[in-house]
Amino acid sequence: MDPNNQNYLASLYPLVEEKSTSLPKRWHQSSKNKNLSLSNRNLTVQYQGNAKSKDAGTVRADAPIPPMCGAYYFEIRVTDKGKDGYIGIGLNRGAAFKSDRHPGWEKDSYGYHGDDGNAFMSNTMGVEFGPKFGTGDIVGCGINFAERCIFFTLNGLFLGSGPFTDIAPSANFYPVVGLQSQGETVEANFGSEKFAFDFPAYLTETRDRVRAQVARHPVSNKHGEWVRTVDSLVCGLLVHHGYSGAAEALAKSARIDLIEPAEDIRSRQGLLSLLLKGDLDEALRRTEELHPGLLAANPNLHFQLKCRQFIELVSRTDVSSAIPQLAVAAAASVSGDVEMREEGSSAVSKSDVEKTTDIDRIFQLGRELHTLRVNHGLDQAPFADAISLLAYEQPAQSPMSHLLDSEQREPLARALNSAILESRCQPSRPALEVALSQAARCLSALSKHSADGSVAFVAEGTAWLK
Amino acid sequence: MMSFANAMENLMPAAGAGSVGGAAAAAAPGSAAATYRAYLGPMAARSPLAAALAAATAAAAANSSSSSSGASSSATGGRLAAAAAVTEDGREWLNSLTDKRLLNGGNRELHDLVLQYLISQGHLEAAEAFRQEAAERLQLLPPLDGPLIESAAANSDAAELDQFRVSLREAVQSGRPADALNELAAARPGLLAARPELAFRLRLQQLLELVRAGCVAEALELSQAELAPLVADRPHLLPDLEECMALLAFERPMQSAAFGSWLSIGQRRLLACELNAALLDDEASDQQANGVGNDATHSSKLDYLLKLVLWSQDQLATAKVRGFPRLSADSLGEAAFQD
Repeated sequence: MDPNNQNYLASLYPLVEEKSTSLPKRWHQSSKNKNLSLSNRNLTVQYQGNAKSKDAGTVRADAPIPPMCGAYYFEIRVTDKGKDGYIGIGLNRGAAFKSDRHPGWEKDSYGYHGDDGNAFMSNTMGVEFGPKFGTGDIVGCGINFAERCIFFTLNGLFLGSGPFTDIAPSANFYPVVGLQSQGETVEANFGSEKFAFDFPAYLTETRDRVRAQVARHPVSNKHGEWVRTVDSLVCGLLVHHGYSGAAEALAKSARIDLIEPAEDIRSRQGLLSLLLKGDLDEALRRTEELHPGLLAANPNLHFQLKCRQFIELVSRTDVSSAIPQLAVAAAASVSGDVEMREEGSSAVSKSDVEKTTDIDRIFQLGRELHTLRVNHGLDQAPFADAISLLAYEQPAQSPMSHLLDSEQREPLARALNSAILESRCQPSRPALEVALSQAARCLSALSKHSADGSVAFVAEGTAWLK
Repeated sequence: MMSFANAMENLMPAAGAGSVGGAAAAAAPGSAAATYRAYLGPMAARSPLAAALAAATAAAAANSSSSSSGASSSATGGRLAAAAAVTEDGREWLNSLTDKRLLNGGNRELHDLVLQYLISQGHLEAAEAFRQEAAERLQLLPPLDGPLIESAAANSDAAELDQFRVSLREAVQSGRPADALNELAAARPGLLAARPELAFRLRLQQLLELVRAGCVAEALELSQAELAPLVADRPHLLPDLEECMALLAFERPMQSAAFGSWLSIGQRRLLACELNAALLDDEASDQQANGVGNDATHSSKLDYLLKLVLWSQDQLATAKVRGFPRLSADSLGEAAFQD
């Protein structure tokens, strides 16, 4: 299949990953009835048996239909109705089937036949369903995993499902076609070309119906319980992320109580913005002032913050003149060799006076970091990363330059935020975010464990949750 | 019912303190700093989807020629592996929830969701405050991509509608549903006429406010004059009316276990939401009548996503998947998981 077709199929079935799950692409050579011959890269089927043969000949597609399509569809064009036009199109549940039986005659088989326009639901007795079809007609067959039905179309017109309702979803349905008289020829379209029937519109309508069902999921709301729940989830999110003005206004208009006084929200947010701006000195000072003991109780967080403080200091200091000494001192800090360190720092103190205070500060910080790390047995890595910045004349152009990114401050701000909230017995993660994560997790489990297919219609647009 | 943190603790293995996986230990309360590195989760190492699909395909191939899978075809949702029911690992499930670091205050999609909720539900002051605070913080451009509620009406019309929504909401939430009803009847006569159930709700709330104030005689008068006619042709509304009338028998109606909820703030909020929705609906169909096409959903996308939680949990249960922690509509607010 050429790349264009891949895109069309990918747009129809966005949740089906081609590399792990194949879609049906052509008729399956080895399972076909002996009376049939395949051509045109196995897309065209012709009944070749001699004029006397009475047997039907059926062939199935080369792969089953993945339920993650949500709904799947294929068409056949009758290029020649041959002698009698005994043509059937449909689906078979299972890779194995009786190749001398028309679609719909056997158990787990469903078909629509052109000679009488009847529908066959695992039964040799058909029921009236649609028009007969013959040469030049395009007949389509689709399966809707979410609404559990099989439907047919003729020359772009929707014929409906007739008796094919309440079909148990399965990952094992194969497109099938059956022929029975000499010369009958049909050509399949598994999505390599645009369909005669507006299948994309069908998908959209199905999606709307399924999503409407989700939106109508029953919740007890007789006395406004659900309304209150959603109100408080949003308010909780606003409080957590420090949107004090919005939280206050929502609390007022929704008549809910703020779990944290507005001024506390503001002071917390003020603290975090210091961090996000890179002013770690002030952020740490104020944290200690507003939340005494918090950092002591969270040594790992304290350590991360100080590493960040170190990085911020290095990034705004010109350390070039002191590099050799700093490198020595850094190596000493890491290895804990006291003598080396003092030798390094005394070498520096003789150099440029203007630069010394900052560089002194760097050393001091380095020592504090080292102490913290050792006292609490913390992981070396953040410290080693931070120190390594000193090895470069131009830290911003070094392989460690990502450390200088202001984006690195964000996870720290989140962690500090959570620590403060937890110390005040508030949840460290907003309930709304937990709920949305649960939605994503459930959808992913559904796509693994269920052939229901509704997932395909509700999961669109939720990719960002993962 | 257990809190998120407790659920984590309960699911840790009983044997030995040190044997727990890194992320589980890190998520214990009090070591918030560990969340900094918590995204290095147990999920990283394997691709469960690929493994599950491989297992399912093998099972499907084994089952394809047997007719046993056809047996119980009807009611239940199908499963890829036709054999035993699937059991999820509850602890691993909860771990994977904490690992999500996408959802944070700086996430644009979450921001848009919240803003759409605030605007569509009529919390306009909050919406404006949020828009401003977020713009500073997230460095967002003030104009958003496309209108959050479809409104092709001129700005002044939209503003007028907004003010009206706020005004009606405040009337109801301050205990003056009759004011709301009168304002509505004056400004949008067709709306109430087309929605007799909404008219009933407004009158019922009026009754409840009288009950709250202890005005028994007026309450009885109201029920005869206004409510009885509205339920005359709509017997399905009768049970609610009867419950509210029953409150009159109590000295302290708010404390009635059976019917006290009628006097809750939630009741007023619910009516306010219904009014809001009716106004937006009315506006939308006006526009459609004028040839302005739109698919405005006045219910918030957030509402949809939260219902999606409940819906997908039910779907999993139907597919006989067990062992995963669930949230109920009641426990969503506290993120309290049940087994």
